[in-house]
Amino acid sequence: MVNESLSILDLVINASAVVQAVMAILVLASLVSWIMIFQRWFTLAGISRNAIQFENDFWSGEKDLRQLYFELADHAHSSVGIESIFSSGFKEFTRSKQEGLDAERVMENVQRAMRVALSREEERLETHLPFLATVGSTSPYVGLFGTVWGIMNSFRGLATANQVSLAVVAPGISEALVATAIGLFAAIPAVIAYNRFSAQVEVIMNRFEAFTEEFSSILHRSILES
Amino acid sequence: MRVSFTYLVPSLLAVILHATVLGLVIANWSEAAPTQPFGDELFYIKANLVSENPHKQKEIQEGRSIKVEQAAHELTSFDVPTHSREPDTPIAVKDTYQMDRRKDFLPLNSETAGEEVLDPVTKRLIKLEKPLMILGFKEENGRMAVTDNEKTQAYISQIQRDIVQNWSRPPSARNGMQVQLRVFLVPTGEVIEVILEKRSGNAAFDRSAVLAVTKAERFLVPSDSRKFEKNFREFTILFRPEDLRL
Repeated sequence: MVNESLSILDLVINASAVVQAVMAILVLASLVSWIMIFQRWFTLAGISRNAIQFENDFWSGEKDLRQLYFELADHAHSSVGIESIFSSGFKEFTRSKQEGLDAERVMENVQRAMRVALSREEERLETHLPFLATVGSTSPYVGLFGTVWGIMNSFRGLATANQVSLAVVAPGISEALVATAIGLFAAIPAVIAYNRFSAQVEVIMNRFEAFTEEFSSILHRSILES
Repeated sequence: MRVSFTYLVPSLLAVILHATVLGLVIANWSEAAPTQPFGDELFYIKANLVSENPHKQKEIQEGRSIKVEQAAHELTSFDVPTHSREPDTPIAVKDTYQMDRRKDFLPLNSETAGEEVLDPVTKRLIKLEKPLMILGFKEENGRMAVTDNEKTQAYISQIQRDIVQNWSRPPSARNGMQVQLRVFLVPTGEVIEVILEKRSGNAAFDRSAVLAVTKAERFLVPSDSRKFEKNFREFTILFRPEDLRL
């Protein structure tokens, strides 16, 4: 009589080695993807908060550009996000101006420097997002593989059993389905987080690009005035 | 240092989240697990040895299936609304049924002997009926109508009588011996399998109990397949002779 209650731990422990391996991989994937999710969450929130604050400072007009630049350089930690775009642009601007290049060449150098900084920032924003996308798209299949394997085995067991009943196959199928459940458990948050974070990265990048344009036009105007 | 910190908090959060989810799943698993359709402990048929009367046996055999049909019918045709029914009414109903049954077990000379002769038998029958009633009410889950339950009881007691009639105890049987069988039926009421669940320790006694069921061959069961599946697809019988002197 198979009437002992099947707890989820029993299901996992009694599963075959392949199914157990699949489950372990999926649990690991889920764990790592959640680490990434939290890490991205904090980082992106920090970067966009920082950008808003910096833009407020920048447009308030209380400090001139040189003052802002030295304030950022004084910070112990390396500047991130919008600050690093600003510093690299301004650094290039002062250097080119000291070399006595004409306005067009100075602006070209400044824009190139800021473009480099921008792409570096984009890279920084998008770290771990490919991992989340991979987990989101593959872990249901990995789970499904575990399930198919488990069901295959339990039907193979059915072939040799002389008294066929639902109770013979049901535990095996139940075990196998746990793999799909874990796969979905890993995949759903990863997909949601991936979509959310890539939208957020896009918003932040738009903000950075707008700032870059505005900043270069300000620098252009100042070089023409001097 | 900074890198380790930026990953430390997320890692902790992720681990906590997984632990919480796992804990919740394990804690709520038992409620999600399917329950056994029939309670193993609750549904017992106790077959106590009540009376042996070889002369009367034939008549009982003939009259019995009609009797139960009648009894079951009688019990359903009570048109007392369920909500106004007193808790002790089923027992009263049972008692009228008891009167019917008592006649079956009358010794041949009972017509002349009168009530006093019957008393020991009757008492035993009533005593026997009590645990059945209690068990039956335990099984009831509130929604089930009382009449359904009584109908089931009628079938149970009929099965019990069939078994007792076919039971011939070995001489080695003693009071307090107990053997538990699990009986499997098909919807027509035929016995397909009998399993010894708990042995008494006395092989002859065990054999006599199994034989009592197999000799009955076929029991009267509800034609309603839902009721049949619930109680009569498989059930447990407890054999325990209590009327012996030894």
